[in-house]
Amino acid sequence: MKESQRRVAVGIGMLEKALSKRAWLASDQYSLADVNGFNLAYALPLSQQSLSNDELTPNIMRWLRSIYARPASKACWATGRTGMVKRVAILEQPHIGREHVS
Amino acid sequence: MSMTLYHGEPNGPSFTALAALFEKNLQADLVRIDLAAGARHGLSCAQQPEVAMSVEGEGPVLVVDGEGMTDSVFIACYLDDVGDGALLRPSDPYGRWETMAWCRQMIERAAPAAALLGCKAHPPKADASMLAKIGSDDLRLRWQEIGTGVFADEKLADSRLKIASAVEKIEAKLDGRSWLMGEFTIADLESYAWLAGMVDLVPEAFAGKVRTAAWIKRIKGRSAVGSALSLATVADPTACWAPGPEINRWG
Repeated sequence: MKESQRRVAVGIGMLEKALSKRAWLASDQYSLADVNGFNLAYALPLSQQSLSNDELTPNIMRWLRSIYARPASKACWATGRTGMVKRVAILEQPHIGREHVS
Repeated sequence: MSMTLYHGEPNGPSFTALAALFEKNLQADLVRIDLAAGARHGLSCAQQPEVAMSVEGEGPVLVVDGEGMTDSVFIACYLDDVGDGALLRPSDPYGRWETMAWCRQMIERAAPAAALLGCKAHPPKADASMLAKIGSDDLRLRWQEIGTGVFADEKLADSRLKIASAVEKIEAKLDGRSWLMGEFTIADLESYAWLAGMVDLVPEAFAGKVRTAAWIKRIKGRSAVGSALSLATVADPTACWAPGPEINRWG
């Protein structure tokens, strides 16, 4: 778990840095890198609130919200039949900050 | 376009990148570096994230106009896109998927196993100053673990099993065809790259695998492969190893 947490923290730092340079992960165009990245990262504001939020990682949050807002993403989530799909609703919040950390 | 390929001996990932370069009739500045001494981490591009965090371990680096690219299969895809000659990936969508899925199996299953067994038999050695330059903590840890010379029995047994499994897959896939995907592709290069050195280290995996043995001969007979192998500075490049991809942490 410790090593996994270390890797998540490193990954968040790399992601924020990359997204501070451009709109999307691999280039200025939305790509499979973003699709796959979102798949892995959409829950960060929930599971890693102390590391990923609007104050610490504004670019990750902007990126997640941009992908979540895409019609294809909405269509994808609409197929969900379990409570999992509700988790991503956090991206509808206008601000996710460190004050949410319990 | 300025293109430099930093590569090790033509084995493992360096083999894939070199052979793909020659298959595609491309020109690049070829710079040999001692991957088995961690020399990649001394390159000026070493701390670019795509280089520092390469999941392949100690592999070649292709630098094009200052941008470093790592991971030999993806380097080969890039070369396939920019070079002449026959395509190294099928043109139909399913064939492309199958090729990349096959390569992923090689990268994630066979390659870590081959690198572990290869490093045990032919230990690489990087000094402390080079280890300190490594950007990826888990890659540095792999170097340190190999440096102890202690290899857990279960990891060795699991690695031999994964090599045997890869060879079985190859043997089955070659039924009625000369190349893994039907036509010659990056899948052939990547599979040969990691398994050629295993013939001596895990001979039981290759016993009775006549189609695989013939496929190895066919690959060696290719002109581009000959060009890649001719860059070896040692008698047997398949005995040159450095830490590879991480063994899957779970499952």
